[in-house]
Amino acid sequence: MVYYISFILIGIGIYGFLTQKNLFKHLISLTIIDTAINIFIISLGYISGEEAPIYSKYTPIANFVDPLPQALVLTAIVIGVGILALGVSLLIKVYEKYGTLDVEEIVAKEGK
Amino acid sequence: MRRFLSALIVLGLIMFFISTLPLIPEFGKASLSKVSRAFIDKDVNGNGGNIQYGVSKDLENGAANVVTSIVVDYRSFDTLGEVTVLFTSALGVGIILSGYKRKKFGREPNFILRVSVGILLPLILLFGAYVFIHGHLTPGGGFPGGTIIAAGILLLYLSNEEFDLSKTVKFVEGISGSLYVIVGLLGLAVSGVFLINFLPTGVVGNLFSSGIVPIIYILIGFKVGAELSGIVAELHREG
Amino acid sequence: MSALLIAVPLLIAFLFVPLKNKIKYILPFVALFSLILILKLPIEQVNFLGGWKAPFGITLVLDNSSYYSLIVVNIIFFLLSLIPQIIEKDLSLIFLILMASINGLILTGDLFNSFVFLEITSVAAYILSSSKRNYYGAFKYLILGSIAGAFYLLGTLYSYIGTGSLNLADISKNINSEFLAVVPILIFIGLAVETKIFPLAGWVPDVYASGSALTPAILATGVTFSMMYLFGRIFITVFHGEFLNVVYIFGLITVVVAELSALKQDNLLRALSFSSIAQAGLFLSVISMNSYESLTAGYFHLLNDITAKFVLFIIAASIGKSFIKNKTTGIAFSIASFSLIGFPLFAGFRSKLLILKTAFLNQNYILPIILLFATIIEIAYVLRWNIKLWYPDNILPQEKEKTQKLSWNVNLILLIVALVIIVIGFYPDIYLKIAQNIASGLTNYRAYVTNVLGGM
Repeated sequence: MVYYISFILIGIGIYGFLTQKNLFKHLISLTIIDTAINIFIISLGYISGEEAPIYSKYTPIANFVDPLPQALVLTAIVIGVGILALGVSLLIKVYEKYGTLDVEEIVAKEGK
Repeated sequence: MRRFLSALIVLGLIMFFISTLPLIPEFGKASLSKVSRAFIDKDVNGNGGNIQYGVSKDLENGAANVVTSIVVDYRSFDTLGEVTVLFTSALGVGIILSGYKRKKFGREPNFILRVSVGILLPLILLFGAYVFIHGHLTPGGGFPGGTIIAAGILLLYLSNEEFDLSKTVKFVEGISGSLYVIVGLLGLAVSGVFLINFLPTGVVGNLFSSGIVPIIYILIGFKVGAELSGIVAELHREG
Repeated sequence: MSALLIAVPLLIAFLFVPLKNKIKYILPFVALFSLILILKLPIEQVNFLGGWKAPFGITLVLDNSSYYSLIVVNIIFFLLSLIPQIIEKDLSLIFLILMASINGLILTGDLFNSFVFLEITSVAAYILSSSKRNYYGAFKYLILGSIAGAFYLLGTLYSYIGTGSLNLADISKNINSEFLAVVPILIFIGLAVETKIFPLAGWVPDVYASGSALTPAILATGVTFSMMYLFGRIFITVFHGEFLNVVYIFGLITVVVAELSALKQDNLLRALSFSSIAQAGLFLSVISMNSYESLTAGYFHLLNDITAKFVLFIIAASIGKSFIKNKTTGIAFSIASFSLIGFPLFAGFRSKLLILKTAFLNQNYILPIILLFATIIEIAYVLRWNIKLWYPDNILPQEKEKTQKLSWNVNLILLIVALVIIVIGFYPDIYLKIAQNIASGLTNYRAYVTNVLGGM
């Protein structure tokens, strides 16, 4: 089931990117896709009944879910944050330059 | 028309993904890959296996948190790249928004905010430091720890109009980033391999148990904290 | 030792954050250092980072193909670092990071690590493309590039499920046909933005034609070359040429669409951007014939293209409307543009001839037709631009005064590169040797797997 959720979220993200005219919504679509993929990665490594992959007092011996996807998702999240920050700052400048975030209006102003 | 076409594309994409479902294991029934197995047993070099908390010692990697052992030791190079992505985008935010001045409201922030920051800030910073120092033992590590510290810095920005940290932030992120690379280069100098864990490991579960892992995670904590604070500071400006 | 190629530029970038203004003077030394380091490195060396052996840790693989790709890319960086005029003040740090990440992209032997380096490269490229206030183009690139990056990540994940490993050599050895039907599609979408395949190449003209000389000069040469190398590495070494039929068709469509659009442009930089897309499409369709000869021809053509584009983009971005005040620059421009269309005796002629020969050897007659069609269109617009710039009509006197003379070091480097184009036209052996080495490294996947995973 979780897989379907992440596939549908990816679909929503792509649909938003293809149809929306507001640039900020493109950024939101990107975030949705990123999140969907992160959910997908995490759920791939899940083994029901097993513990989080940390040796501790309560889990002294290895009975763990797959730790590698979790490590990968950590990297993916951080990269996503970096790109989001960059995108937002670009949008601030786009708005300053064109006075709008609408794709069609920007293209019309570029053409002039 | 555009919406219809897009919906068609999206439908095709979802169908494609659903058609791949037979390939991937059912949810909750994944099996450990050989790589993950070796990471959990700390058995890459063939002298691990059957780890027990508080008993096993002198393993190839001593971190009790297996995810940390992957992020900071087995695949440390990825993390260096990841830190670089964050560094580059923080730099980019600074370049793109350069010339902007700090946003000023011209009035003093709320009394409750000012006073509570004084109480909360040390606690937040302490918590962030705890999270990244114990990254190899408990959930957490440099990235969450740094984010918590950046949240504390955000509080400072909100509560004080004159507060500016951009010089310090640049300095901290530069120093901690270069120290990370230098730790890697030290490995190269000591045993000829970049980013090797050249310090001894101890008993799984002790604070000093995993060589350079905590050192690197502390550096990452400072770096991420500085970078996110830098981004917060830059986005707090206006033209 | 090959880790130094990534570590040193990164270290210097980190160290010089507080002293951003001084870094300009260090760039040539860093570039020279990595160039010398590469030449001193032994080939056929695998570097296990952190000391963890192959399928577990991350490996840096230095074989024939990555060695020669590194040389090409680092020469480009060295040449660019000698032209500090076009590197805007703040962008020097980004330049260093780009250098580290491209070296990493070429060296890495790990699929997820290549994703990380792909993202560093793209983040640096987004920042570069936002120069000259080109924020909208940069944003478009950012969104497209990041969505593609997400697909690349998905492809990485599917190959992890399929083989239980992220190591390229291990994936190449263990991947089964069921996963070979899925993973290449995802990776192809992931790389399509950077390799400029038609439906996803819409960002290219907006970014390359921003007016900044550095952005296209670096993105159309060094970054493109490393992406094409990665493409060859993944699709030919790892996937054994699976899925290349589809790439072939997309490549040909890209050529036709891009050349037709290039003809319509009334801005030189935009025309060159479309030509860049077209050459990328041509390259991809040539290498998708997947043989040693076609790979040689493809990389030889790519080398010629990036050499020509290096000259063309720098001149197009820094010169005004005519060559009146810059005669030497004009000569370099004309040489490079003639090489681009494949005029006999220039470098481009050699590679186009080689492509035709390979296509006929493979009994492929569609590619030659498309190539000839593309060449005719190229001749049309390249000649038009040459005439327009050499004999400008209706240029106003005040505009004439505004055009500045390019400084001597820019002219010198452009002339040297133009000279290389002519030399290659007569003695193509140097470029051919690079292309042959890359091709042999990429096609010989058995050697790659044994090299990384150890003897079996």
